[in-house]
Amino acid sequence: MSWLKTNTYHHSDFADLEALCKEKAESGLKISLCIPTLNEEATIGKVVVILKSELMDRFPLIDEIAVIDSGSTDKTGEVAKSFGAEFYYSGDIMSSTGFKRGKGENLWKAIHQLKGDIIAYVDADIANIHPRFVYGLIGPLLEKPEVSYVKAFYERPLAFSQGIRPTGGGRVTEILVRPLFSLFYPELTQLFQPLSGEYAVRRETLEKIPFPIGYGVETSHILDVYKEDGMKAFAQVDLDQRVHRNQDTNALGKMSFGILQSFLGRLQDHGKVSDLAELSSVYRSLQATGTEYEQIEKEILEEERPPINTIPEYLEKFPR
Amino acid sequence: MPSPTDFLELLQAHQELVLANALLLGEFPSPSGGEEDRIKFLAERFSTLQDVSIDEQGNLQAIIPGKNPNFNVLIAAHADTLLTNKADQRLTINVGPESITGPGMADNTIGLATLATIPDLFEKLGIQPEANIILLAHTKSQNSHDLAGLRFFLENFKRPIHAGLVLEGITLGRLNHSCLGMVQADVICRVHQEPGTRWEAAENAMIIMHRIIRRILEIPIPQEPRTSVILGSLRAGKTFNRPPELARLKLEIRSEEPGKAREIRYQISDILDEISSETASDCSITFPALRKPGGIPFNHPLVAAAREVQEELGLKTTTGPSYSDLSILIEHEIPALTIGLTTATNLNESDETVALPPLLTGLAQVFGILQSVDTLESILAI
Repeated sequence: MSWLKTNTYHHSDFADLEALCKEKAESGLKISLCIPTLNEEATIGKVVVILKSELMDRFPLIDEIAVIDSGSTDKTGEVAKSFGAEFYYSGDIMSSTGFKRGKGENLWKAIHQLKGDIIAYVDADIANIHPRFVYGLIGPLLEKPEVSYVKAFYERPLAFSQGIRPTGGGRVTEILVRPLFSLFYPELTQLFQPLSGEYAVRRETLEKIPFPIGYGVETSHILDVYKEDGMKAFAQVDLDQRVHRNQDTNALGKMSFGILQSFLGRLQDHGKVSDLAELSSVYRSLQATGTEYEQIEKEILEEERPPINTIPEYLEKFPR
Repeated sequence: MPSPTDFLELLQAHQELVLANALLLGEFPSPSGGEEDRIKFLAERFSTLQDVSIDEQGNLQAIIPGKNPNFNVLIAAHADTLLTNKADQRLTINVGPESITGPGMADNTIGLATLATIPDLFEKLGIQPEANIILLAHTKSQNSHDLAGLRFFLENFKRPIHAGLVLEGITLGRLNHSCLGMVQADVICRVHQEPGTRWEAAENAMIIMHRIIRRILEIPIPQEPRTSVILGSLRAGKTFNRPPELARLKLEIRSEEPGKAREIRYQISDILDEISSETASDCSITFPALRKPGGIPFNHPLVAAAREVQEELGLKTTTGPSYSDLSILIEHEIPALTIGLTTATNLNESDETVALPPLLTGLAQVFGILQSVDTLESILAI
């Protein structure tokens, strides 16, 4: 049986929360939920209310919910706390390592802040948030000990209303990442959505991989876990539809630029290419205003955090 | 036995269960006759209860077993909302520390969410009620469906119901125990426009409807017993310069006096006949809803008990007749009350907003009243 058949799940496989909680209790594992945020006051309340009341109050599946924030200037923190989530400014966590702004930074700091043996990451901008976004990701980890990294994927809604678009395969996945995987890592093309922002991972895996702080975090995770543990470490779960804000093509260009930096770096580390020229960290786009043509330059540097098990402060909190 | 104010404290930690249900339910558009997504959600919620079923009208029923198998109390909330339709796919609901916003949130998503959470709240409180609590989410309550779901349920439910509690999102403090006679009328006026007539000279349905309205306003309406004719909706025409061929008026007649609403209804029909023949237009009238007056008196033990609960929670009780769900319970001679759960703003807008701080009092009120109903067993269940 191929990996695609054995390790691809649907969230409904885990909808019996009573059974899932029983499995969790037997495993003795602690489960934490991390919601990385930057100015999400509009949606954070809903995400916290639904996940907390369903997965902590009604069913004891998760042990803590923490919002890790990169410095919101809106009421994200106030709203999250009012509904009972723990709220941390990412700059306050392991402060000796400093602060960098980026989603990857929040995910990395979460490993130190949260107690769980499994950490599930869920974005705060999911308009149709539902408990399945979390229990679907946790299910395969409780079922298969060899699985350590569970990735979400979504369906394309047949119709969508104005301003909201389905992620489906995702444009960056389909025109950048999938072609690259096909060229260099054919097995990884079995992942429907390698870039999806929702995943659940075992602590022992999280602590041994580096974290790009920006766009490249998902791609590099997949390459690093694959290199180390192979395909059997992955599972993917169909979470049906996910509705969120659509990004314009320009934003996707920047995202692709960041992803390529991480990807090319990994290719070299894995010995798949050699003598790679030094890469520019400036993303250049064009803009026309009437007959005024100009080039816009933006520095996008995919900085990386090292594996957290190399940080003394972490090892102190989680001794070997 | 906890007092109503004890319930405030006991329920505080669990209020978010209601919010979560409101958020999840609120995303499903639920027009009258298209409530199936919300009903399916509730069926899953109630999956651990006895006798969970969806009937042929799409109503959902479930029973929380009480200590006394022969004592039954109904809690009902309508599952449909105005202003949503299936094409909306998924509605946007937002929640903040003070409020929750979305189309239909006040009427009646928050009421339905409360119904959805009652079994969990009983469990969290560690209370088993005396009475069997029959939970009903009923369909097709609005517009021309005219409470078809609730009517069907009451006509076909096989056990006796000894008391009823109708949950409405708004407004906290209301206590309806009776209903007025009521007639809803839908008046349509159509004129004939000869093809080729210049617009200036064409017949105009709006002008004829204007005459109808003037005549309706001339009908003498007694102040005592309280009677009123409410003109609720008027539609005609599409643009600046085209006389409309069609005009439509929706109105409601209410009266505390038996037979009065019917009398006014006949008067309006006569006016239409007269104007129709005078102007060579087609005027027609239909009656989507009719109700008889009735209910339990103000000093009925059930009303008294509920007032006491409201008083203890610091609420100012507003009694008054109800025209909707309650009237169907009254037709079936069930002593029943309608209560509100919280306060709201932007009613009937896409950003209908429900206040969260009063909701806790609303929930304490529900459990306070249910507890009082349990003590009325000897009066109600005979």
